[in-house]
Amino acid sequence: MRSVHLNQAATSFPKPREVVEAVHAWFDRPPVDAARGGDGANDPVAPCRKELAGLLGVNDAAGIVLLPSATHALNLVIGALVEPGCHVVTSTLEHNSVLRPIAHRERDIGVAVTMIEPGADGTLEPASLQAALRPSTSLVALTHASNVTGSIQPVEELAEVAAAASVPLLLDASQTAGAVSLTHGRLPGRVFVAFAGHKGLMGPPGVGCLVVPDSMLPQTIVGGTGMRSEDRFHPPDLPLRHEAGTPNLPGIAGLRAGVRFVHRIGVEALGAHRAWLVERLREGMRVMGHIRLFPLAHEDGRVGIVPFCVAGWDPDEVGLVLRESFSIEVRTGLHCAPLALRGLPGEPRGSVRVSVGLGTAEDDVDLLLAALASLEGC
Amino acid sequence: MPRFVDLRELESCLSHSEAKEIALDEPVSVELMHRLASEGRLQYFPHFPRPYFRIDHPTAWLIQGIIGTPRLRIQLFGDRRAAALERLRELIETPAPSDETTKESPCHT
Repeated sequence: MRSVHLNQAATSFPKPREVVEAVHAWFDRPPVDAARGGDGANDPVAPCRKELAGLLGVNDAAGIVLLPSATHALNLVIGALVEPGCHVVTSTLEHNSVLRPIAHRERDIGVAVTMIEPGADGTLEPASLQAALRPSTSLVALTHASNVTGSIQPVEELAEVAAAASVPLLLDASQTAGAVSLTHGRLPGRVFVAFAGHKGLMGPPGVGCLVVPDSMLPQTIVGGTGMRSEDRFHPPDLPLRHEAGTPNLPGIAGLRAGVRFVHRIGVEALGAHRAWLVERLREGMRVMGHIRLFPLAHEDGRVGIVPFCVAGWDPDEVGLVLRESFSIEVRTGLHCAPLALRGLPGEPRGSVRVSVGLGTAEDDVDLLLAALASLEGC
Repeated sequence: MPRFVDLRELESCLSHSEAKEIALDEPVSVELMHRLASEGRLQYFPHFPRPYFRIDHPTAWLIQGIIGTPRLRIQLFGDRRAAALERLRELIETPAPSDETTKESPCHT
């Protein structure tokens, strides 16, 4: 039986051939430190930064910081900007990679936290953010799109609100990088963008990215950089300012190839492919009386996420049956975003989340719909 | 007769869900499913590409499995989980009388 991966929001699969080949190629050649001379043929770091800067409209590629994961990137900003006596605004849509660092700051140093909630359409209202801000607010940390509902947030308007209050905005773009266009250079104010390389950007796991708007973010992870070894302190300039230790070079080589691939296909086209598949899924599910689509499921399907429940079945059991009986992989539960479905029917058992991507074919969607149809009446 | 060869905790998104997986030394058969169902309510889905079943014990456990795979997923409930697990081991490793009857949910047969 053919395996179907409908958990693309967790990680994209299959990776483009050139991504796999780029990782292999890195291992096939001796590592070269381009900063110390040589032709840089096996140093993917600078080219990867350049590709990412081009994709995200970042004016200076030095503002692209390469890290082990989006979680590291988010922690870096939250840890540096949320200090004792500060207030932070976040939302109930956030992933634990935002909620937990903030919760730890709340518990450990007593920062104040305000959670804003989405409206009926799953999006955050700029007015809600405006109302949540305080003179002591040091950071607004919001997702660009929910990993539970797929709802895309009005990031330009939210950035306007944060900028007007001179509060930095930390945007978690893990679900949108490579799926929804974002031009960092056009966002007002001081905006940090964190995202993973292994989702919509098609890279391998183990590389995340933080776009930093300036070199004022305090350094929290310091150490070896391979240069200026006589200095007692870590280099203060971007991007090394926030990069310490040996980078994941094969992973960055793969991410570079993934970003080039995304560039070539086009973010708009990739988003449109997801949206088309999402619409096909929703059409198929709407006629099934035993399927309940979550009300916060966003009409804009570019992120490629469809959350739902099946009458008479626990979400976790649906995931088990789809995987074990039908060879279809989906995600079930709370999706590491435990507040996203708060107040909705089905809580706290969560939802079944289907997520599609470039590697998803029409046939895959139809196989899922057929499998879901067979759960009716049980 | 299958043997119970391993037991491992399954990671779950929900902390209150304590699922475990029993590894067997041979695939689950229809006969084993019915033996396990002697102490619970069986729901069987033979029309799935790989037939699925679940067995709900009134107070002690939930068993979920696929015919033809050497694994069972279980959740244990109540205060006597160690005893329940031992009883499951007995059911798995000790053949039941051939005339045993089970209570099958009619909508799943």
